[in-house]
Amino acid sequence: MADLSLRIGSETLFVPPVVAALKSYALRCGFVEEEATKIAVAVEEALANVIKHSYESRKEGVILIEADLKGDELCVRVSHQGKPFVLEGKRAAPDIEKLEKERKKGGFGLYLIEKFMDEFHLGHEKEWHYYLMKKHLRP
Amino acid sequence: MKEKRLFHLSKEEFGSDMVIFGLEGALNVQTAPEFEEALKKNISEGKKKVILEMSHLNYISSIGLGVIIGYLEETREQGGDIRICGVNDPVIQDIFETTGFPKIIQFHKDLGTARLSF
Repeated sequence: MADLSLRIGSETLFVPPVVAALKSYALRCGFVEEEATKIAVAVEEALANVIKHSYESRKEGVILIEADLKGDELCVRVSHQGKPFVLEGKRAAPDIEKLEKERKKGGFGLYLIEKFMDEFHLGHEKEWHYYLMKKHLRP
Repeated sequence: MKEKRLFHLSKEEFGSDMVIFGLEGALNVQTAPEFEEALKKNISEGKKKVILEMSHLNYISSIGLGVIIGYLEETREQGGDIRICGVNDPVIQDIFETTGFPKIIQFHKDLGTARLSF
């Protein structure tokens, strides 16, 4: 069982309290305020992606959020049973001038996860797809 | 007891064409729709010089960035522009820098310089 384990419905309403809980947990683990906020941003981006793309804003979806400190490494796993997310081609730095011209509002989320966490993987286990994000405590 | 709001947006108008939005709290997946609605309303009111004052903003995620991007091009099409000022939270600064926002929007240290830049 993870140190922190939460189960929410696929609604944006539940995102801020989950993000706040993750930030509190990160601070308790020893991360400084700035790093804990970056973890919070990464978790929000993962949750927002799951709600929008995997569950296509259907509120009946279930999302599991688990966090654990293993040694000096914080592991956060966000799992869902919606459509798996395809990562290919999404990890480059966003071309902001192109996004502006095309009025595209997306394209930053996965990039911020990658930027703010030390490791980021997508995977699946049985019927669950997951975002696995890791960040090391720095002395 | 006064309820602590997650996000607060204030609006101040100067002259016939300038508006300053003061953002306070967290601009996230839950609060971004309120921000987007206010910006859309402003376009319909014809205020072309827009300043987003962020000295009291303590959190922003990609959905907030998306709202700004969407609004920027629309404002420019109307002959206007947007300035951002007062960003002092280190993570918010990092988010703007890392996503390249200074390439497309002028950032100013404070409201005074942002107003003078128009």
